[in-house]
Amino acid sequence: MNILEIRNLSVKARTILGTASLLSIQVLDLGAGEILGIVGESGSGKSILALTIMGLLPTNVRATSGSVTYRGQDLLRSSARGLSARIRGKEITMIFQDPMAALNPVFTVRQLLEEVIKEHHPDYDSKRVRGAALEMLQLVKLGDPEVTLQKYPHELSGGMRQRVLIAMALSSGAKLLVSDEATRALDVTIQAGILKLLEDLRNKLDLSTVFISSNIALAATVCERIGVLYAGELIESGPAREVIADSRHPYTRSFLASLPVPERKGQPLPIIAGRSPDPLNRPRGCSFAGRCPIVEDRCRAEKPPMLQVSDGHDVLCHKGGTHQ
Amino acid sequence: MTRDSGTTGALSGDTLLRVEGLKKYFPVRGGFWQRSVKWVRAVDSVTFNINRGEVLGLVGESGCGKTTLAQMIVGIYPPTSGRIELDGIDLGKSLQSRNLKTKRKVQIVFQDPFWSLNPRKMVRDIVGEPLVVHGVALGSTVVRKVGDLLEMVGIDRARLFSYPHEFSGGERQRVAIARALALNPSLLLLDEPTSSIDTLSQAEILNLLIEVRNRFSLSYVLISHDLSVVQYLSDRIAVMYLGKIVEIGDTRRVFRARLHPYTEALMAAVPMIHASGEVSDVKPLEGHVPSAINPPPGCRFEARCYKRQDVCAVEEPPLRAIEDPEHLVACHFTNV
Repeated sequence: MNILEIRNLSVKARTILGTASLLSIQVLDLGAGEILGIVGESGSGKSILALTIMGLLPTNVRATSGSVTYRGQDLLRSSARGLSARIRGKEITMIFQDPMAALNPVFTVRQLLEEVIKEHHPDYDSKRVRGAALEMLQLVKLGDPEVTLQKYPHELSGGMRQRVLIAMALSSGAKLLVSDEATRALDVTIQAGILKLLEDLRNKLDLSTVFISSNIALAATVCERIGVLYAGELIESGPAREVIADSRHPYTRSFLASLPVPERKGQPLPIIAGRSPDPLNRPRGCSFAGRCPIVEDRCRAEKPPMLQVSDGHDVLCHKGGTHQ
Repeated sequence: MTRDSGTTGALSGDTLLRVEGLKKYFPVRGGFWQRSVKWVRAVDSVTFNINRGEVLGLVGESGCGKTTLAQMIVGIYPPTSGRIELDGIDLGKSLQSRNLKTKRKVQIVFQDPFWSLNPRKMVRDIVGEPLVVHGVALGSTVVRKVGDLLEMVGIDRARLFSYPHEFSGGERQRVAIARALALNPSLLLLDEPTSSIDTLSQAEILNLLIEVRNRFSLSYVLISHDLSVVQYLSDRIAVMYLGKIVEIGDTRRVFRARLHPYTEALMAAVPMIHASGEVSDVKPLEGHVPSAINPPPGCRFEARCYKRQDVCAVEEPPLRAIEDPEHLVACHFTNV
């Protein structure tokens, strides 16, 4: 059963220079209790996807067509004050790259957590709120929760702050967590701990996560499935290990080939020339055509179809899966 | 001061940089009238050599002192004590004590090319300024030389008169590299050179750095939190923890042997995709880095170490050679 289904989504921005196409996703599903990785370079539309799910798009950016369905309800259709407000921020929550910017520095962890808990559980008395705050800190595996509750955000390390933020995000009883580069500012040793925590929460709470990252190796260690974004389009998606070991889109292949892995030490890394296309002026055909090593005439002329490589592994390419 | 070991680093070859017993303590004032002073031991007795044409990777968690160490070498901070020698010449305590000729030989490339390039200057002036300041070139030769430098780093010389905002992240970092190379240095300090740019631009920058190194037999000190970048570029690697080097040696050897438990933990935490498509699992390291104000008396990694025994809390392990004279480890239990 899918908790989130995205169909034919198109997100556009109105600017003084014209309309920019920011995101275009044909099909993307997230199962209950699944961690889905979304990878891509900066400007590929990762954060726009997160903001679309959260309904936090800036005023000049709008989802112009398609649907984002959460448990059978289209989030794009429901009015902002009605249904969507009851789901977003409550059942769907988000964590960000910089936890310090997301935590109010003048409140203690206790005040921050209790505020969220009271908001979502108006029936709780103060004793129950306290207990719930402590419970949330234990859930995110913060050592010494009693002590941590008394602290201000600046007294915590980056990893601890991110855990507090996760605790706040989950205290509404969230079913879906959107994590936008949540571990980017952390040391690798601490980052690994946050990854383990996300896996743990999935197992314990059946929490589904959209894990957005620019690091494909990172996404592959924690996600069952990953989707690759390029120039706002979901160009390949499938089981993480399969997308990496048997990637079919020329962009995914080039991207993986350019990683400085131990086996490539001493050899020059392959380069893809060019830049990703201008969002104001997307090409008529495939958006990767200008940089693609196996480009054909039809790639420049028409949009590629979504082809199925194997069950659950799709690629947006005219030559999907046929090239070697 | 006692030296931890005879020579830390490469024994053979043509030594370019010698760092000996280098310390940097920052004062933290407090108490009545700010009179009481505690010291943050950011870098505490670090000793190593770098050969000509060699790349030394510095890795460790944030706050381990790797950036402070690099900034002392380039002269941004004067060391509290210890020696830095380049080509056998003592670089002295501060930047002021260095003459133009030695300043020229050590250059730095910063992490974020969005902050390190003056937005109000054209690329011609950004890259050309060191040439003018050092009297290497004047007038029209500046423009010609800057054009040559830009071409060397893969930027069209037609863009001489462009401003930083007209370049992408990767291109800006190329401009920063061109500026660092302008004075023909022998040592380049690379402080997280690829961490604010995308994977595809990163590959181009890494290729460029290798090409430039081979062409001018430059030496690099490479600081990065990204171990895959470090292993790709470095000949040798030094792992730092709380101001100290805990393991140093040939990159492949250190990656394979992982003799220090901290090296082991650090490497186990890095997500990596192998060329075969295999994805390594990650293991977190529990606990936090202790404060550098009052570092523990024994081994600094003791509180987080799984090999910990009683001796670790009282006696600081010296950096000593294990198996290979060039592979040094500071641990009491390297073979347990």
